[in-house]
Amino acid sequence: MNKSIITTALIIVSLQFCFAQNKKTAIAFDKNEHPQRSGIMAAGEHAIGFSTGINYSILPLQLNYKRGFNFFQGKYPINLGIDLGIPIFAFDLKDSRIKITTEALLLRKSNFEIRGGVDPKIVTLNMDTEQMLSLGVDAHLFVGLTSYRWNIGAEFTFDKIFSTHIKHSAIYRELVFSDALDGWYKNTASNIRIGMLINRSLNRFNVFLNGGISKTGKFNDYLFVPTMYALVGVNYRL
Amino acid sequence: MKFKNFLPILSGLAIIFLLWSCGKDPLEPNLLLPATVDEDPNVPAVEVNGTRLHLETFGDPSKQAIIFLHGGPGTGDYRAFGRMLERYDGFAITDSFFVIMYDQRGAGLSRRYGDIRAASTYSIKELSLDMLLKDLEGIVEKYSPNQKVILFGHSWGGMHAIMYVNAHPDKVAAVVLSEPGSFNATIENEMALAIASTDLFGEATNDVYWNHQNISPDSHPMLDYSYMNGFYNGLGPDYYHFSETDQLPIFRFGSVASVNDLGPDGMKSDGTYTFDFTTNLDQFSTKVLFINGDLNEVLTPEFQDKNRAYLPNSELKMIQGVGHDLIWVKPGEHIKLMKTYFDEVL
Repeated sequence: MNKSIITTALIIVSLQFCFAQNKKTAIAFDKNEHPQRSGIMAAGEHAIGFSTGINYSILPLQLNYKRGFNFFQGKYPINLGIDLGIPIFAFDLKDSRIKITTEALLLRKSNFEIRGGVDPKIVTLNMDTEQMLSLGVDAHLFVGLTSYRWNIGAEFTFDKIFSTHIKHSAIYRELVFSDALDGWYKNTASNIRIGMLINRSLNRFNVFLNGGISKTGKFNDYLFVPTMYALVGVNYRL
Repeated sequence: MKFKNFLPILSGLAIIFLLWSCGKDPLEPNLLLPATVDEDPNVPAVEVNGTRLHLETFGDPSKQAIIFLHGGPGTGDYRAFGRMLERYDGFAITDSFFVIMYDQRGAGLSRRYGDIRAASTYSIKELSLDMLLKDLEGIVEKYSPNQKVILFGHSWGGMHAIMYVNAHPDKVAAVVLSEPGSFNATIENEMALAIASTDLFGEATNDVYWNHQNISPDSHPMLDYSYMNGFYNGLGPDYYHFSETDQLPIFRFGSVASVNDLGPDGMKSDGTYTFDFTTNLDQFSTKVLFINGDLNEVLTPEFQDKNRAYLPNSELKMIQGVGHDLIWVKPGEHIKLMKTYFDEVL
């Protein structure tokens, strides 16, 4: 059976476990005490958002939905959601990234906060020479200050592709390598990002700006394109 | 805390383990890319100047040697000359000459050197102009020790040919230059300023950018693969007017060699060129044949006039309706011009 189908099914099953447990154990996480606090959302809150900038593409379209949950008797509020990214220029739905987003509050001391998450993702790319479908995760950590209206700090991301399916085109076989082998390849990519995040809450809106350096997993620069990321976006709490 | 609370975490770890342990190694030769001479002993190769080069010969070794020098550095290899071995109007180059084609160090299927960080400051000594010259000297010594050699160079290969002529004017019988680059830094620095451009909003740029999520250019195979992705998906300037219907093939990109450009003895770490292949050219009096396509907007006849100023005994022939890939798109016209030229000077 296609590996991507198995993986997607496993992700869905895992999420079902999360939702099932949350129904049993959820305790209202200070939603009323800290309404629309900047940063992580309280249990039961929903938000939709949009962002763009420089993120493995110039001006990609990124849409997201997330919801707040409580786990482990409310000790660890978690946001779960989904994020869809598509390059806008020469729009092609075969170039896309779908992430299951996760973010947990790991530590809060007064306004100091550490949050983190591991986001499973699927990245697809269609080029003249090949088609790729990659499966991996983004592991991310935020360390900073969070007030009711502001959220500022440093963010670190390590993303890892565990497996990529590559299918070469006739062009590649004619012009480069006729015997290229299609199929799944392991550990094809990793990237490191170090940057800053600023977030401002305005009633139901959260406006954020983040950016920094973006390099390969071995801290090399990218080929031909900017070795950076920068995003501006807005989330709306439903 | 109950065991079932850990089920999502365990499920996630199981998925990661599953993915991590599956799939082929992308660095293994002959899967995504053809193997280099160091990765596969069956690739035709020769040892010269302490390196191992992908090289093939064609024709009768007793005939006068003609060496083909490909473009780049790094972005080309001798696969581009494949059609020039064919017969046109009853004449094939091997009828009269012993043909030697090789991939320069760091390019094609020849040995790789350095890493991308050193290449970005043009500091890889193994890929210096001096080393490239010594490789060619070794090939001339091996295949034409007692007779003057003929050189054919395309683009950077034309510069390489002139570098050899400048060093050994007495060892060269004839030179054909197909859209050569600059003969010295003065000409090159002027051109580099004129051609700097990147289309940040183009499809090719965004595909290459997006691809960094799938493939990390952290090793020679992945760098070569990524570079290939960019080139064949339209990355790069269009003022060279490469054919879109009859594209130039390649064995394999040499990304590090390409980024390293002319290396530590050809340029400064800031990218300014310093090389000069013209210091001794006045010692070479044989007529040189220049060939240009009419579509190239950079390496124009006016540009070649700057090079030809150092070779007063030269002639420029134009081929119509072709860009910088003229060796691939119009090989027959090259062979015809070369035959006429050889009949005159040899």
